[in-house]
Amino acid sequence: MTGMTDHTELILDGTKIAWHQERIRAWERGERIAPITIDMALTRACNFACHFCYAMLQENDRKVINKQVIFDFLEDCADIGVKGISFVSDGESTISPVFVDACVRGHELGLSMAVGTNGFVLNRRKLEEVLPALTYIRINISAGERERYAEIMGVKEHWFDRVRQNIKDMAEIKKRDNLPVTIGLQMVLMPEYEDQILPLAELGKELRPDYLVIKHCSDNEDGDLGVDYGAYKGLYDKLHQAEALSDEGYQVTVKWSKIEAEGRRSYQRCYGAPFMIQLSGSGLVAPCGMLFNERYKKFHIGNICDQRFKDIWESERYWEVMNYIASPDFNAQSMCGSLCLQHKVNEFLDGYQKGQLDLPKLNGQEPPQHIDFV
Amino acid sequence: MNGVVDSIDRSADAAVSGEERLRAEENGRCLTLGLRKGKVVSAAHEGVTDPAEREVFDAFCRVLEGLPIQEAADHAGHHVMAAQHAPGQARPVPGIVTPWNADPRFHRPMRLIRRIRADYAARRPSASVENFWNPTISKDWLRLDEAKQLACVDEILSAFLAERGLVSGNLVAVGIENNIRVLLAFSEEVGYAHKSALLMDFERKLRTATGDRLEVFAEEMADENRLRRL
Repeated sequence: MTGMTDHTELILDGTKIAWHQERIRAWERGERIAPITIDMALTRACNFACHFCYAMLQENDRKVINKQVIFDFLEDCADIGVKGISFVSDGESTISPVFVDACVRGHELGLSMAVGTNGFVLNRRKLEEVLPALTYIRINISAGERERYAEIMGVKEHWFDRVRQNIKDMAEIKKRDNLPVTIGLQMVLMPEYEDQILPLAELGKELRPDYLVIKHCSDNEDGDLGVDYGAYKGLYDKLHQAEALSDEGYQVTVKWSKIEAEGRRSYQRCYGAPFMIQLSGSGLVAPCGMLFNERYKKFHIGNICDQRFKDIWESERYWEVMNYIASPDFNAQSMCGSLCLQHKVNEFLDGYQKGQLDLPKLNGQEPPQHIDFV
Repeated sequence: MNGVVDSIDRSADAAVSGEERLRAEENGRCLTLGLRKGKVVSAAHEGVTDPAEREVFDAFCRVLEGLPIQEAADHAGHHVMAAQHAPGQARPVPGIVTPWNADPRFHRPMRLIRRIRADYAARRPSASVENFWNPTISKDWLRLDEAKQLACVDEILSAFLAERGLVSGNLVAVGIENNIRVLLAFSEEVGYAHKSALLMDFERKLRTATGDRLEVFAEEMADENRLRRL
C-alpha cells in the first residue's frame, strides 16, 4: 500500500504529501522542517454570514496584518522553504486592504499563492491584477439559486448576481490570457442544503470554472454547528448525479473520503501540522485552525504582528506545541473537531509511522497540479 | 523501519487460564505477551544481555501491561518516551520526536510487538486495526463532585503560581466540563505572550499531581463578527 489516492491531474479528494518525500524523511529524522503549505487569512473580518461558517468558533485576540507584517511574513516563508500559501482560513482575505499586494508579492518571491473567497469584492479590475499571481482561486458558494444563496450565505439576494458575474469574469480573463490559474467553486454541504446540490452543479456548468468540489462541513469537538454526519448518506444519489454533470473542462468532485468518514478519525497523533500549519486572520500562529479560539490558548505559538515568523518557527515554543500534539498528551480523536484541514496528511503520516504503508516510488510520474498545497 | 523478526512462537505456555501467550523473537531477543480479551495482561522478555538494551525492554514491558494489543502495536514506543521524559528535559531531536528517532534501542521491541499483534490478528479474521483507545480517568477523580474537583485543582494551581512568582488570582479555575476539561481564567495582569506557555505548563503539573490526563482550557471567546449568527 502507498496510501496515495489514485491521482488524476487535479487532486481534490486526497493528499499530495507523498510527493514531498525529502521533507518526510527530514521529519522522520527529527529535523526542524518548514511547513510545505501555510493556510492563513489576512483578516478575521467577513462581509458574509454563512450559516455553516466554522470561523464563528475561532475568535481570538485580534491584531491587524498590515502591509509590512505580511511582506515580512512572505519573505520569511520563502527564506525557510515554505512552498505554498493559501488565503483561506478564518476570514475573508479579499476585503483586507493588503490582499492584492500580498498575492503579488508572494508570487514574486516564488511562493505558490492561492485564495478561498466568497468572491463578492473581486470585480474585474481586481481580478485583472490578482489572477496572474495565483495558482488557484476557489469561490465558496453553497447554493445555485438566488433565494437559497441569500439564506445559506447570510446576504442579500442580489449579491448572488454579483458573485455570479465575478465568476464569469474570472473564467473569461483566464481564457483570454491563457493563465495557469485554476478556478474552482466549493460547496460546503450541510445535509439541509440537499436541494442546492444539483442547481449549483448546473450553475458551474454554465459559468465554466475548472471544477466544483462538494465537501462536508466541519464541526468542533462538541458539535456546536450541529452537523448531522449520519445524514450525508441520504444525499449520495444526488451527489453522484452532480458528479455526472462533469464534462471536458469542468470537473464535479465530491470529497467522498471525508463525507464517508462521518466525522471520525482513524488516528490519535497529529503529525500533519508541521507540514501544514494555519494562521488566523488575527496574525495568530497555531498548529491548526480548530485551535484558534482563545479557549485553546495552550496551543497558541505566537503572532506575526508581534514577531517575525522565522523567529516563531525557530522558537522552542513552536516545537513544544508541535511535539505535544504528536505525543500521547494529545488525542486527535477526542480533543479535536471533525475532519480538519490536516486530516488526509495525518492519515498518511500515521499509517506510515505505524508501518502500514510505504512511501511510493515516484520515478517518472508526473506530479499532480497544485503540489505546493498538500 | 522494517526489521527482521527471526521467529514467532504462538504455542508457548498458555499457562494461565484464559490468557493467551504470544512470543516473538529477533536475533535471540524474545518478547512474550500474555493477552486476555485483546488486552496485554503480562509482558516479559528474555535473551537481552546488554544492560542498555535490557533497560529499554524493561521499560516497554512496564508500559505494555494494561494496553489493548492494537494500542501497544501503534503507540507503545510513545508511552515509553512519555514515561521516560522528565519535565524540562531536552528532547532527543530538535524537531518532532517519534519512537523511531528518539532512540535506536526502541526499534527492536517495537518490531516484536507489531509482529505479535500481526500474529494475534491473523488468527482472528474479524480483528480490526481501528484504535480508539483513550486512557481512562481514575475512579478517585470521578467520585469527586465538581466543587471538590475544583478545590483539588485550586490547591495544585496555588502551588504552581507560587513557583512561578505569580499571585493567587492571576490564574483562576472557573469550572470543569465533563470531569476532564478544566477551565481557567487569567487576570489582566498576565501578559498576552505568557498565557500559552503557562497553560501548558500548568496542565503538565496538574496531570502529574492527579495522575489523570486532564485537559486545561482558557475561557472561550465569542465571535466578534456582528454579521454572523451563532
